Order: sequence, then structure tokens, then C-alpha cells
Amino acid sequence: MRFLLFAFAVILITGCSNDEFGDRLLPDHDEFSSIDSFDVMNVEYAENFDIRKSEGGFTLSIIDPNEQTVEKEFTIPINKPLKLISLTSTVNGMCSLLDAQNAIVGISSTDYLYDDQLKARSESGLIAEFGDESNYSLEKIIASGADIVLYSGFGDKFPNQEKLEKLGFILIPVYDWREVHPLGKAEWIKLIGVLSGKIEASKKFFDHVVQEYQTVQEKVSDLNTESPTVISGNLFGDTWYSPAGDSYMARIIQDAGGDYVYKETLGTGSVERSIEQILKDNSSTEIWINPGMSSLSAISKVNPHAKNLKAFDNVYCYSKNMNLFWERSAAEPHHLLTDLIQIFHPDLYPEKETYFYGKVE
Amino acid sequence: MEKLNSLTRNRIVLLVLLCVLPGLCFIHLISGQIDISPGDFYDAILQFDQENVNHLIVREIRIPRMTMALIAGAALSIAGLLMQTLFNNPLAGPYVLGINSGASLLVAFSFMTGIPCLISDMGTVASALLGAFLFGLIILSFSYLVKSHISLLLIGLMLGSFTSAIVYILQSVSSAEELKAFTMWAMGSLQHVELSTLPFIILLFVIGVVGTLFISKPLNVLVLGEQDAKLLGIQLKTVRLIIIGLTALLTGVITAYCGPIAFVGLAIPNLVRLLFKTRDHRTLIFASALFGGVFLLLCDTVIQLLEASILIPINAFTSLIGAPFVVFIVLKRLA
Amino acid sequence: MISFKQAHIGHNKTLLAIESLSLAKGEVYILAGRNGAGKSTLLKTLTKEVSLIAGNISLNETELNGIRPNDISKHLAFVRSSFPNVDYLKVLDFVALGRTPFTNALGRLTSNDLKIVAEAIDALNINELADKFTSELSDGERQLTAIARAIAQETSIILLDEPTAFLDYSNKMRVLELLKRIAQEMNKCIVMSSHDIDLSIDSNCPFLVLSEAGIQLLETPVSKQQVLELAF
Repeated sequence: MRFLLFAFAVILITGCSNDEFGDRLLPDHDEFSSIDSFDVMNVEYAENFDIRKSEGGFTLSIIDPNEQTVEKEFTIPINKPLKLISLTSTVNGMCSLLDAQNAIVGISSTDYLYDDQLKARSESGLIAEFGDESNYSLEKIIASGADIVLYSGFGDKFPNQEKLEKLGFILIPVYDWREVHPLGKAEWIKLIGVLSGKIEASKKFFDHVVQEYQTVQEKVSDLNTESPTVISGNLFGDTWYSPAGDSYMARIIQDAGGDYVYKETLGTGSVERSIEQILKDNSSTEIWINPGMSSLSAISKVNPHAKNLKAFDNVYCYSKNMNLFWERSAAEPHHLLTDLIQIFHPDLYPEKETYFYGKVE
Repeated sequence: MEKLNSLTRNRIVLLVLLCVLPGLCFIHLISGQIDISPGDFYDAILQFDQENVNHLIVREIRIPRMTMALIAGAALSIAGLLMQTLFNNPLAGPYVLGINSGASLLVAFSFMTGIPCLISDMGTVASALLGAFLFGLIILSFSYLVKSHISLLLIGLMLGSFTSAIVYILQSVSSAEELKAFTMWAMGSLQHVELSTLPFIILLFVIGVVGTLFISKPLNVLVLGEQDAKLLGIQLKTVRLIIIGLTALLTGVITAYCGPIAFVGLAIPNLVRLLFKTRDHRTLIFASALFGGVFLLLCDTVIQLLEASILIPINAFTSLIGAPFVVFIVLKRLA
Repeated sequence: MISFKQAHIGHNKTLLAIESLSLAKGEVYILAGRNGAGKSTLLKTLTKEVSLIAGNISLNETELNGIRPNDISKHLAFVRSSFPNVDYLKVLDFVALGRTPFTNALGRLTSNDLKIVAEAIDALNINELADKFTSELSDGERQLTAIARAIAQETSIILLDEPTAFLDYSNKMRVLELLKRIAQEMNKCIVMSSHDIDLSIDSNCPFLVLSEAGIQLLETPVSKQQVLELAF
């Protein structure tokens, strides 16, 4: 149950994105021999990790998002290929964007794979399934011979953390989902770059994303048309969870030229509203995104009062390909931004297809 | 003389409760997360304006929610009374005996099949009714095999655990959306019912209550035990099936629309017997329905008045009050 | 009146065969015999809880096999050795349950029903218990209450399973005397099983003694030796 709640929270906090240029950066293999050949790895947007050069490699710091203190620190050698177990789709996506699929030896489940090469490796047995974070197979991980386990960090601790650390596993929570800035989320690719030996490629990729994001954002700020009002989220139990005003999703809605109903609320997590408040606050809201369901009938099933929302005719979800969304939306926020712009301001890209999002019918 | 007194006293209690009921309903109606003026209530009913959000909230949320609190409380209490009489066991109830679990299991199956007609509202109701009835029959057949009251309760609880396990396995193989829809259903809510569905639910509820009143004679005789009831001319087999059927109807329809709600069915009939000190089912049925409805209405009013945006699930709230009361009943019987 | 003709009684296989026997109204028959001799089986055969293997039994000239299970209540009332253990059941309401075979579908008691219930309570002289809960009664009082219910049922036959088992001496006497008076005054045929042989002999009732040899009716006066010889 707790896992479900967290998973749901993530659905609400995260957004979607896409790049339709097809000129996806194909990073070169970083054949490096010396650490000096690299500039300092600056972390500009992300708040929950840091990278420093150190003796023989890079020191990674994971910052606890709640306490804002260093939660973990490790030194990663630069000349040793590491085997990764990735229990979060974000990491799968980032590895595939860096062409570093080889680094991954384990995942949660093949059901959530998007990348063809990952699928192929999984079919040929090069990648094993370990189950999700709350319910993984401890023995299989121990027997896997992996070096690093990457996970979302929904709970306080990774289950059996001490045991695994004693055995020499490095456990890294990937707090991309706690980042407030869309580019901060994307910047986690640099951490993946260090772990997979694709440092230069990850930097290049991130710079490209920053550039794309800003270019697209400027297009919107030049607009003179009015911003449509937007609501996000859905009921869970009797409570509607919606991204809080300072959250990543709220920010990306604003960046895409949407007028988010709860933009004034405080916090980076989610805000809770009863259905009465939702109906009251959204009697004129025009667009509803991220209902967590891909059909109107499914929405009505969990929330029979949804059809009383004006925005019920205008619901959008990242439902084109859910696995694509889970793998790529963190690393490619410019796609997500473009999608939302297309939804909020259809005239801006009349011919373009959305990358993640689809209209919910 | 004393007999007259106790009868009169019981009638007065029921009458007083009936008189304060409209007041309680009114308090429940005006409690919520947004302020709605009495004028809006009046207009929402008599001059409904589709564009007015307050009108919409009154009609689609407040009124169905109040009605469902009353009906769910009443229906579950009557179902509990039926189980307690049938098994001659004051700690029986649709929840502990696993009747709810049966409903949950079939609803889980219907959600996971992905067949549209099973996922529809009617599909959920039909599944819940069928599941409740099947599990009623299972627990009935177990009641022939075990003599002890506690054993039957344990079997009911095991039935519940067993189905939870199956439901858990079903969940792990289902798609994310099916899983979410089922999880939402299982969390339960009094406010998911729409105004247009109310007449149908009320109809089923009335059928259940009237049916129960019609078997109040055999219910009264059943306190003598099944063998003696039979020797007094009660058609035991038929009566048992009718009791299971009515319990399934009352439990199933509420479970289908509001999710599982614990303890109401177990606690209320005990409370009613404690207060009314009678075994006459005509009184017990009325009193259980009235007390059950009022109890759930009060619980929900408190939830609404807490002014939180996160509404406590009704099932958690009834357990909070119901579980200690059941412990009290157990201790009282041991004393 | 109960009559047996070549009746074979038992659970599936014959435990007891009764060649010919007729029990009359106005008497209390004491059913005696070792444990396992078939006292309960005989009583339960009469209530149709155990089916008759062969032969004939008739209640008031009606053949037992021809009586539908739901109509057995019109012919006989049965008082079990155990008393239902329930809260909040008043003696008056308990006795009134004896009227079940006569009330309408909703169980409404007519003024006639209430009169009969009042008379039954009166007959057992338990008026002061009428408003008590059965859970508050002593063993003796419960037994009287159970008999009152059987009387309210207005059947010509009353069967009792060990009605004196858990009572003290004075209550045993009281119950026996009452039953005798009821049998005579109301002209009923009463059969009760009992282990209290001395007491039953003192009350001057006919005996039905069960043994391997079958059933033996001993008319009054019965001597204790006779019973013991036959039964044990």
C-alpha cells in the first residue's frame, strides 16, 4: 500500500517531455585514461547530488532531499567498468540515451522496458529481473555480482541496506523525482554518466537538453495569448492529490504557458484537496492533465464526479507510450515541455505530433 | 406493568432517534470542505442550476453521501443481525465471517478480466452480490462442521486472509490501471455514488429490509436453536438460504458502491440488544437499521467536520470505534 | 396417543425393535435404560430427527411417515435437556414461541395466543418469572419455563429428554408432580427419559424400560428391582 501511494505521488509529481528532432545525441564512448582530461563536473540545476573529482575517480554525494544534508558519499573509480542494477526506469532511460545499456545487468521488470536494446539484452539473458524496490529478491541481488544498485528511494531506507552494504554493494537512491527544476531532474544523467563511464557524453547530452529547453521556453514567453487554466492529478481514496506550487510539475506547466490552478500553493510535493474543493476551484478550469488513467471511462470508474469538471472534455495524459514516458521524461524535459505547449497553445506547433502525451478519450 | 414499561421505553428511544434524525442529516449536509448557504441547498433541490458549482456539490456529493451513510449503516447492521441470529453467535457479522471478502474477491476478478461489461457499475454490483452469496454459502456449510462459535469466526477470518492473498496475487499480475481502479474501490468511499444511481441502491436496500422483516418470525424462533426451530414448523433449509441471500444482498450492494466497511455489522446489533434488551426481531431490525444509519452518519459527519483536505477513510473510522466496542462485548460476556 | 407396530428404531441399523406398544393419554411414561440403549434415539424418531427404519408408528392415529416435518409441531412438543443460552429473551416471549405453529407469517400473536401463553405460565405457577430474562433463571426455573413452552404448543403429546437431570431433589419432585398433573388435567400423553429411577418410582408412573431384549412396559405399581433387572 505504501509503495502504491509513493508510486502514485511520483506519477503526480513527474511530468512528461520529448524531442522530435530525431537528432538524439549519440554519445561517443568515453575512452578515458586519465581523470585530468576532464573539466570539473559542474552540477548546475540538480539539488540532490553532487560530483567532485577526487583521487582516482569521482566522488558522488547524494543529498537527502528532506534534510538537505549529505546522505551518502562514494568514490567511483574511472577506469573500471561497473555493473549496475537499476530498479528505476529513469536510470534505464538515461543509460539508453547514453548508449550505455551494457552497464545494466539488472532491472525491476521487463514489463516496464521501452528501449529496444535493453529489451534485447533482457531476452538474451544479459539483464536479469529483480523485482521492485519494496519487494526485490535479496538473494538474487547478492548472487548477481553487481557493483551498484540504483533505486528511487521512496522509503526511508533501501530494504536490507546494511546487509548489502556489508557485502560491498553501493546503494544509490536516484532522487531525480525530488528535483524541483525540470533541468535538475535531467541533470541526473551526469551521475549516470559517471557510473557508466560516459562522462563526456552525459555532459554533452545535458547541455543539449538545456539548450532545447530554453529555446522552447522562449517561444512561449513571446506569446501574447492568454494562458489556459490547468489542473493536474486525480482522486486517490477521497483525496485529490495535485502537484504543489513549487513542484517540478507546477513549474513545467508554468514554463509551458499554462495557468496552473494551484500555482500559489507552497511546497515541492503535492497538495491535497477534497472532491468538493476540487469542483469548487475548477468550475472554469479548461485543461486537465495527468489523471493517471488513459481512458475517460477508467477515470469515471475511480472518480464518478470527474465528469462534472469542465475540463473533462480536455484531459491529457502521457499515455502514448507509458514505458517511453517512464524511461525518458526525466532526461528529456524539453520533450515534456513541448508536449504541454502543444496542449496549451495548439497554434504554436500546428503540424507537430506530441511525444509523450495523448488526449484521453 | 414492568413489561409495558420496557416496551414503552424502547418505543420512546426509537421515536426520539427518528425525531433527531432529520437534524443529524441536516448537520451532515452542511458539513463539508466548502461553505454552502442554506439558500443554496434550497435552490439546488428546487431550482437546480447546472452551472452553479454549489448546486452541483449539493446534488452530486452532499445528498448522495448522506444517503449512502444512512443506507450503508442500516444495511450492514441488518446483515450483521442476520448473521448473528443465523449462527446464534453475537460476534458474527458480514465482515468477520468473510462475506465482504467474497464480494471483494469477485469484484477483483471482474476488474482484472478487463471485460467492459464486468467493469461497469452493474458488473461490480453483480460480482459483489454473487461473491457475497457464494461466501455466505461456504460459511454456512462450515457451520455444519464446526460446533464452536469461535471456530466459525476463525474460519471466517481465514476465509478473509485466503481471499486477501488471492486478491494480492491478482493485483500483482494486473495492469497498472486495473490495479489502481481496484485499489481505489477497496479503499472505500461514501461519496463515489452519483445522484442518478441512488434510486437503484435504495430499491435494493428496501428489498433487503422488507425481506428481512418478512422473515422476522423464523428469526425469532431461531434463538431456540435450529433443531427446535424445525420442530416448531420452521422450514429451516429455505430460511437459511433466504437469510444468506438477504445478507448477501445487503452486504453486496453496499460493498459494491462503498467498498468494505468493517465493524458496523458486528457492533450495532450488539449495541441494540444491549439497549433494547429484546429478542424480538421486528424491534431489532428497525433499531439496528436506525442505529446503524445514525452511527455511520455521525462517523462521517465527524470526518467532514475535521476540516482536513485528506478525508479519513470511513472504514478506518468505523474500525477505530467499532473494534474497542467489540472487545467490550467480549469482556462483558466473559464477566 | 402413541402406538408402535413392528417399529425398528436406530441410526441406519436397528437398535431397538418394538413389536407392539401403545401409550395412552393422561399418563407420564418414564423412559429408562442404560446409556446407549436408545432412549434419545427413540425420542428423536418420534420427532422425525431420526428416520424410522421399518414398521409403523402413529401419533394420534396419524402415521408418522405421513406427517410432513413441518407439521410435526401440531402433534408433539419436545423439551430438550439443554436450554438455549441467549441474552435478553424474556420468559413470556420464550413461552410464546410455543405458539409458532399457529401464528401468521409475520408471527403476530392474537389475543387467543396470549391467553394460551398466560394459561401455560399459570399452569406451571411461574407467573413471577414472566418478565425475567431466561438467562437469569435457575436450572429448575428453566425446566419449568421449557415445559410451559411445550404446553403453549397445545399438543396432545409432550416428549422430554432428561428433564430432571440437573435439578436438586425438591425441584425434581416438583417437575415430576407437575408433569403428572398436566398429563391428567390436560389429558396429554407425556414421555420423559430419566435416570432418576427411585424418584420416578415414588411418583407412581408407568415405566418404559429399554434393554437388549427390546422395550418393556411396566404398569404401576413398579418395583425398583423389576426396572433394574430389565435394564441393567
